[in-house]
This record gives sequence, C-alpha cells and structure tokens, in this order.
Amino acid sequence: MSTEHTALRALVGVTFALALGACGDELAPAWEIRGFRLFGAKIENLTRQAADPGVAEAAPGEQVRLTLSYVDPAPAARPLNVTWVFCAEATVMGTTFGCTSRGVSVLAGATVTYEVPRLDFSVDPSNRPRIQAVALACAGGTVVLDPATRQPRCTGEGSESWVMTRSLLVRTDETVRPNHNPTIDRVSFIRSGLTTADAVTVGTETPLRVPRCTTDPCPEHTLDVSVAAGSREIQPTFDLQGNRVMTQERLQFGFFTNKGTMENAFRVDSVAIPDGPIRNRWMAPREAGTVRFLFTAQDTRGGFDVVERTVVVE
Amino acid sequence: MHLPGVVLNRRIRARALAVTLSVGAPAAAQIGATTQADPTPATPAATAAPRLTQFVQADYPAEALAQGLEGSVLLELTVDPTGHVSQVTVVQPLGHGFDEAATAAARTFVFEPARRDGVVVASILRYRYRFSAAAARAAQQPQVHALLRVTVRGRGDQPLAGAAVRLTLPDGTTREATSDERGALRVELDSVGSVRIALSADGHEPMEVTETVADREDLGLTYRLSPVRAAATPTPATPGEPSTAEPEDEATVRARRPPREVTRQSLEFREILRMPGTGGDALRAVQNFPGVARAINGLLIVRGSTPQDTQIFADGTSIPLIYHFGGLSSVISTELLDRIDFYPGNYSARYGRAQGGIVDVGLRSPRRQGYRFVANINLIDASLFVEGAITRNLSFAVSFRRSYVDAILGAVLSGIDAVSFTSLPVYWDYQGLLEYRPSPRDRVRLALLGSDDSLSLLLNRPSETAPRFSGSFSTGIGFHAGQVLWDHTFSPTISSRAMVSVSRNSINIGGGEVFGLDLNFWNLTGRYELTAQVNRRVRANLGIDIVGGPAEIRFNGVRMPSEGQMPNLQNLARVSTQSSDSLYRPGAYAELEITPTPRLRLIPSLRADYTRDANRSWAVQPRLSFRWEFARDWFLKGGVGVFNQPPQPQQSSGAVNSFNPATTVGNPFLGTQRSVHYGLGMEHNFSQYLSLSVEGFYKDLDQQIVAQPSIQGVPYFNSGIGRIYGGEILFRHRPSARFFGWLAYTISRSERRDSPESAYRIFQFDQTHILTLIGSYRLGRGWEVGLRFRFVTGNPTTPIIGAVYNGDTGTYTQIPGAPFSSRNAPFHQLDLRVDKTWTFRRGSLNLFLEVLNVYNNANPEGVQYNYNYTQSNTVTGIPFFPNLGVRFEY
Repeated sequence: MSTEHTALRALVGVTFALALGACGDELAPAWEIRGFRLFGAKIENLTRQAADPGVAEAAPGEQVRLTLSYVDPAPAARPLNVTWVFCAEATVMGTTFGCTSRGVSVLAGATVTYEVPRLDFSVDPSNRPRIQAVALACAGGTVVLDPATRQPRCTGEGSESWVMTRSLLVRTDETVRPNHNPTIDRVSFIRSGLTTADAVTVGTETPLRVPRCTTDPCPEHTLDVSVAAGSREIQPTFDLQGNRVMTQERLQFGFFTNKGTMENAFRVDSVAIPDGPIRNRWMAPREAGTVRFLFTAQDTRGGFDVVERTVVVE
Repeated sequence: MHLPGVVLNRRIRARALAVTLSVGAPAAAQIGATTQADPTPATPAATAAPRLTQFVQADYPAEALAQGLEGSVLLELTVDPTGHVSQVTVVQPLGHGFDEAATAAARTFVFEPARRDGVVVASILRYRYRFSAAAARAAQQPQVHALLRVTVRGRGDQPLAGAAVRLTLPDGTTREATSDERGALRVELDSVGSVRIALSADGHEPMEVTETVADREDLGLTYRLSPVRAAATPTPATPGEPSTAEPEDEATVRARRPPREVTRQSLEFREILRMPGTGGDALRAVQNFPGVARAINGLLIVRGSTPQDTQIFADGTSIPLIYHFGGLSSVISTELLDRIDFYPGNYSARYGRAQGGIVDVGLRSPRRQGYRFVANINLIDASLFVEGAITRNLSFAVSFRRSYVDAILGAVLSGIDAVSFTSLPVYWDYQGLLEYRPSPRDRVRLALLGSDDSLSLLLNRPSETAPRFSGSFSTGIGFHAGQVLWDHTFSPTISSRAMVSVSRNSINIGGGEVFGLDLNFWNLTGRYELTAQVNRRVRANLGIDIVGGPAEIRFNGVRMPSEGQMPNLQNLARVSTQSSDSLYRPGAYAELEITPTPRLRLIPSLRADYTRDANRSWAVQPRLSFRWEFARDWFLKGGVGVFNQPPQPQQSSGAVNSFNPATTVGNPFLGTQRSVHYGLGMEHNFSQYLSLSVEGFYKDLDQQIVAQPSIQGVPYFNSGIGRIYGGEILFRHRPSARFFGWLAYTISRSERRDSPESAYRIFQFDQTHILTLIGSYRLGRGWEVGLRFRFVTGNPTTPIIGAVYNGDTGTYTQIPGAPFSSRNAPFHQLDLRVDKTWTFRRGSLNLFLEVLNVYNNANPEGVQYNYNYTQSNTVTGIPFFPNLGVRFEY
C-alpha cells in the first residue's frame, strides 16, 4: 500500500511548493496592471432581466449579454477587437473536451448578445450542460484567421491580445433556483492609522484624494469591499456521502491597480466568517497621479461583477 | 536484464554494517552470509591481507564477569613478516581489565603474514576483541558453536565405515569419533577456529588436515583416504568445488551453505557513519549507489521508475515512507538496522507487487548481554537508543527520534506574513523490539514501529494562480505497525520464517476548500517462507505472502491530470467520495538456488499474485538470475524476470463520485502493470580493496496505468508503454586503515508512450547522468574528513508555452508544451564532513560537522511562474547548509 502514499507525498510537495509560491516577489504580481489585461465577462440574462435581474445563466432559447471587462493602459487610445466563439461544451466526468460542432456561433464586440440554442444538451446527463465561450481580445490590432493553423489570431504592430474562456451554465431544471451575479455595492478606504469608523467610501463621481508616500516604509491603507445582501447565495451541492446539501457560496474577490503596492491580488470569503469584511492593504506610490483600481467578485457558477474606482494621489 | 542490488547488512557479531551490491539476489541468505575468510588458501593476489591462523582466547576478567560486564576492545595489531604480533595498541578501550586481557591474548595470535606481489611483508590491522559474559559463563558447560559433518570415503569412492577421526580443537582438547556405515560422523564443536583433524582406517593411509571452522558454521567435509598400496600424493580440490579426483587420491570437499545473493560487496558501518551528506543515516546512504537517482521530495527513484514502483518493507511489513519530510532523515533508526536489502531490479520472487525496486530493511536482534545507550543530536533532530538483556533469553531495544524543524522553521518564517503555521512541521519515529529465544532453534520477536510527519499552516494570502487554494493547509502522514516474527530451525537443512503484522497507515491532507484527503487503512500482512537444503547443490525457498485489510478514503479534489501537467486546483469540476473498501492480495512463490559448479549459481523462481482489486486478476511471474565466476575474481552476472504491480486503490476504485454520481472515482476494470527486467554485468576484484562492477539493464514496461480523461467516462487506462535502459559503473575502494571511497556512475534513459499510437517521450523521472564521488580519509588522532560530489542531469520539465485567461475562475490556465521536453540545469553539489572521535573507558563521543553544498551552488529544482505565465524564475534547492552533530555511545 505504499505506492499511493508516495504519490500523495509528491502531491504534498507540489501543493506546499505552490503555497509557498505565493511568497514570491520577484515576478510581476497579479494585482499590478501593466499591459492589456482581461478581468472576466459579466453574463446577464436579458430574457429574465425584468422579472429576475442579475441571473447569470440561461435556458435554451433565452438571450444573454456578455460584457467583457478589460483594461488597456496603453498611453494612446487604441481600438479593441473582440471575436467570440460559442459552442455546446463536451464534458465528461467534469472534464471539458472543448466544443462540439453543435450550436456554434461567432460574434464580435466587447459586449455581445447571445441566444442559447435549442439543443439537446444531454451530452453527459450527469453534468450541468454548458455553453463554452472563447473570446479573442485584440488591443490595437485586428483578428485574422491564420491560414496555417486555422486559428484566429491578433495581428498588428504593437498589438496585445489575450484569449479568455467563459462558461455559461444552461438551465434544464427550472425547479433549481438560478444563480445570480454578485453585486459589489461599496468600496471603502481607511487611511493608515485610522479605524473602520473613519472609512471613506470611494465613489465613482468624485475621486478620493490620498497623500503620496513620503516615508519608508510607506503607510498601508485599507481597502474594504462589500457586496449587496444576497450576493452570497445558497447553492445546492453534494457532500462526501453523495447527499445533496445546500451551502452558502464563498466569493472570490480581486483587487487590481496600476500604481502603488497591493498586498495581494485576491481574497476569498472566510469559512469561519463567511459574511465578514473583505479587506486588502494598499500603499500609495511615491509619485503623485491618478490611480486606477478594479475590484472583482465572482462565485464558482459563473456569477461575476466588476467595479472601477479612481483615486488621486497628491 | 540484470540489476544490481545494494544490501546493507549489519552483522550481529561483527557489528559491521555491510552494504552489498547484488544481482538478481534473493535476500534471505544474505542475512546468513558469513564474513569468515575462505579457509582454503587462494592463489596470492597482488596484495593479500594477513589471515589469522591461531586464535587465543583471552581470560575473562573475573570481576567483570561477576558483574555481567561485557563489550569489545578495538586493537591495532602490528604483524611482522613471520606472522607474529609484534605490537598491540588499544584503540578503543573498554576498561575493567578487558584491555589488558585482550592485549595479552592478541600478542600470542599467529597470522599468515600479509603479502605484496607474493612477498611477505609487515602489516597493521585493526582487530575487535569481543567479550561476552554469557559465552564465558557458558564455557563452563558444553555449548555448540559449530557443526562439523564429516564423510569418509575409501577405495572406489565408497563410504568408509569405522574410520577413526580425532579432532584437536583450538583450546587443545581432543575429540574422537568413528564413522558409521555411511562413512559419516557428526561432531558438535564448542569452540571454533583451527581444528586439526586426523583420520585413519584399516587398509588406508592415515590423513591429517587442518580446517578453520567459523562460529555457527554448518560445515560439511568429505575426505577420501587412499588405499595403502596407492600411496599417492594428496591433491586438494579447488575450494568449494566437488572433487573430480580419482578415488585413490586424497581430496577434501568443502560444502558451505551458499549465500542466496549472486554478488556481494560490503560497505562497513564506518562508511555509513562517515559518509558525507547523509548525516550518518544508513537509509540515506542508499542514494549514493548506482541506479538510484537523486531523490525528489524525499522519494526514492530507482532506475528511471516512478517512486510508486519501489516498495519499502521493514522485515516484510510494508511501510508507507522511507524518509521524513523531503528526505531529512529516514524513519528507522540506523542503530537498529541489521541490513538493508536494496534491489533496483531483478529481485527475488519473494518480493511481489512492485515493478521498480525493493527496499527491505532488516531489524537486528537486540544485544543479549549488558546494556548499550546511544544518543544522537544534531541541528535537525535528536534520537535516543537503548538496548539490553532482560533475561538470558529475552532482550529489548527501543529508539525514539524527534525533529526540531518546527523551531528552526518557526524562527525563519516569523517575518513572513504570507504564511502562519498553526502547527509547525514536526516528525518523529519510534521503534521497539522485544526478542525471545525459547530455544536454540527458535527466535521470536515482537516489533513496534511508528512514524509521523505533520504540519499545519494558514495561508494568509491566497495564491495568485489558485486563489481558492487558501486558508488552512495541513498534511500528515504516519504509520504504526506491530509485527511478530518467528524464525524456526527444523533441522540443519530446513528452516522457516513466519511473520504476521498489523499496521495502521494514514494520510491526511487538507488544502483550503479545493483539496481534502483522509486515507486510513489497516494493513494486514502475513508471510511464511520455508527454506530447505535439498542437496549439496540445490536449495529451495517456498513462501506465501498475503496483504489485505480495510481502507477508508475521503477525498475531495480535482482529478489528477495527464503526466507532465499540474493539477488545476481552480478546476470547478470536482471529484469527491467517501468510501470504504478492502484489499485482498495473496501471493505465493517458489525459488531454487542451484549450484551446478562452485563457480556458477542459477536462481530460477516463479511467483503468482492474485489481486482482487485489479479486476480479480492473476499474475504469473517467472524469473531467472545467474552469477558465473568465469575466471578468478572475474564474474559474469545476469537475469531476466517478469514483475507485476497492481493499481493504486484510487485508480481502481469503483466508488461513486459524489459530485457527479453517474461517475466513479477510478476505473474498476484496470489490470496490473507489468515490466520485464533484463540485466547483464561483469565484476572484477583488482585487489583486496579495489573492485569494479559494470552493469547494463533494460526494462520493458507495458500495461502501464495512465491518467487520461476520455469520453469513455473513466480516467485511467492500462494503455501506457515504457522502456528504461542504461548502464551503471561502480569503482570502489573498500575501507582500508585510512581510506574508503567510490565512484558511481549511471547513464540511463527512461521513456514512455501513453498509448501504443503515441511516440516515445522522456519520462518524468529520467535522469541521464548520475555521478557520485565519495572519499573519506582518516587523518589520525580521531580525525576523519570526507567529501562527496554529485553531478546529476537536471530533471525533465514540461515547458509552459502560453496561457489562457479563465473567466470562470479569474485565473490563467497554463498551456503546457510537449511533456518533459525541457530540463532544469544540471545539479552539482559538494558536501563535506569532518569527524572527531574521542574514546573513553566506557564509551565514545563523536563530534561531526557536515556541510551541504559547500560552494553554495544554486541548484535548480523547479520553475516558478507569475500569475499569467509570462514570466518565470528558477526555484533553487538547499543552499550552503552546515549541520553540527554529536553522537555519544555508552
């Protein structure tokens, strides 16, 4: 019986290395926005928008809107060309084998509207059927079909591109409550040395003004993100015995900026305090200027939200 | 193909830890192998060591005997060209009058002097004189030390009845006996050494010879007496070879019990303790031999096979790990080791269910007189060892070790706020032995073994590549085993070993919400082996072994990806199960050791294994190995055999995946994996110290289990194919008074195909070049300095050629290139060890400084990528690391 043990010890080594990998500070950190970058795509069910806003999945025949979230910090404005390919996903035992040839659609634009085809989604009845969306986002270039590989690619001098995959859960059982996008409703800023009572909301209208860093080390300010009530939904899942149980979603939050120093790019809801505050620490840059922040929230079923804020460093 | 094995053998009497390189070698007889020199003089080699021809028993100090004191005195003897001892120096005194007694006795020893190029020369050697209180007491009553079985033949090679035999024993006493109608007689000797044997019979010329009898030796001798009329000149037969002489000649045939291993070279305890870079740890020393790759994460990689293909046993009981955390130290105390049988391939049929290598650790018997205490303290861990006799037939040994990694790591990581340890990494292990010898024919031993490695930490910051892999992270692996071993001798030619063990093994790993594993199982093992000397040329070993027991698995994670890919811990498709299962794997084997001539040994064997959890399959595995001394000190060795290995429980599990109840965790229709080993090699002993071994090997693997998600709905298949081939060289200088060392080099290539249609590619554990140079030199006055240099080809890696942003998880998914199509830079490292030993009246104190990576080479161990895989840097291994330690023996 030692064989599986050695395999698992190897896995321990891998996971431990991965865990300690989070300590690495020599590589570009995930929170730092340097070049053209994607952050996700928000899915909104347009068919149900009026009756049930914020639904992030759709039944066959329903329309959804996908809005690409991105940042292009290039000094000069440049066009963004996005090509979307939609298809029914072939999934067996939880493993995706890419697109089937059924229900293929090609759309263009940073924001597109897509109608879920009326297909028999019984490729693997044990899985939730999905529509897979693949977006090629091309900043400063154009999307062409490579004759050699028959794959789309981004061309153009100085262009930057990323490919993004996104899944759309297809509803086949109306007795199950649909999943909704979480909603980030507030971003607060707490200056170094102050308390929660002194938190200032970072609004979208008037930029918050923050002093630049003049000390060593720089003072750490706190960024506090909160979501609207109900964003953490109760979802059905299975326990280890195979029983269907209802558990509260744990959301994952992203903190991104183009200046200063963020403590870490991600935060995940605590198991112990599932509704607790989501906080991150940020140090202002030493130079004055405008700082962009992007905050994201997402669940594990396709729900997504993003907000952008601006802070002026003086 | 023939695969050399390594056997570390700590002899009870000699207290030397021997390492044996063997080819296709069954293990059991290695235990019984003797280090006694061949009593028949050999043709003088270029250099020949002095050989003791007249041993003198020392007087046991009366007061020490009354108090039950015993021990050994290490002497340094100067033997002059006449073979007499001209000077005796006590190197390691014992006190209580032992030193004087040993010195006095040693002064009267007589040696066959050393020779250089055939010319007798003076020499200096070390001799350990042992004092056994029990033996001294027993001297008052007859006690069997050795058995002499003599057959006398006369005219026409017919048995000669009524022949008179008179033996003059080393202590001067004489024994007389008469041969029976079969010409046979049997004499039990209560002292050993040189025995003068005088034979006479009516109508035949008398004969007088001198034989050397070793302790506990079962020595068969055949003498042929010439008829009076013939008066021919005696012609001794080639040692160990059946006589081909004419009946009228006088001849002697010596029939020693042959060892089961085909090749043997010995590595002494001194080499283990002083080997640079191993911390005096015998099991870690194994990694320096040919065929063993540099360990990764403390896993033993043998001849390009996966670590899972190598099984680890403690006297037949499977244990789940051999090293604590990443190879810091082994899980069994070196003080308790009797032997380590290490086989990289072509091993005996007594080992099954493995297609790679075998490590079988043998625990030694506790001392049966007095007590012994050893404390070992270094910067990483500390251990205590005590052994002694409870009664004359009952003895014990206990050992315990605990690490201080927690204290060191706690201090190092105190300034890092990304990680906080809720339980710092700790390892500990224990062993307890209770041995009872109810009769000279029986030995019963109860052993308790256990080990535990655990840590628990809190990742304060989510990973940038897998944010949900955050929160608490814990790992624990341990085992606790109880074992009963019974050795029984039915007769001088038939013996048996029975072993029953129960062990509880557990693995617990938790990683945030994305990964959790609790694996607990009871392992019930039963083994029985019967050994019979069928005749002078054939020895048979028959055995059964059964492994089974209940297992409980709780798993929550993601499927393991195909080889060469990292598991995507952000994967939203999950595998989860909680199931109970049981294993039932009985096996049986038969093995013959055939010695048609003394220079040739053939070991054919057959093994059959049933595996209920591998689709209820049978695996029949024929094996054959040989060793042939085709010229003096030149050996040809080889072997071929079939080796099957069942799937891992999670691979063949039919348990339902809770997250997807229509699917199962594994593939319950998997069969066993199979490999065929071929080996051929040659050995030559240049002198008493220098030897060279060259081996070539080839492993043909099929039915290998590969993880390959498919539309068939199962994640594992027996579609893998592989081949491993290479060569190994060991050029070695055995320990002399000053120096020991060796050069070990392995060149190999390990390749795989995931299906018959795919092309061969480099396997994950391929290491093309492995070079190890070791040397240790005694400077005198207790000082010794040693160096170890290693050069190893970098580990294969799978390059990341791009990434795709996964909008579902907010992370980037790597796009792997061809599996293992690139490599890390080569590994090379120099380790240094300096020892200083002080010897006292009742013990010794050893202080050592071991420096790993002396020139602080940044050895690459892996590649770390940034969040979107556009940047990378190299993760390096252990930097310059000094370790200071103390070993105290009393």
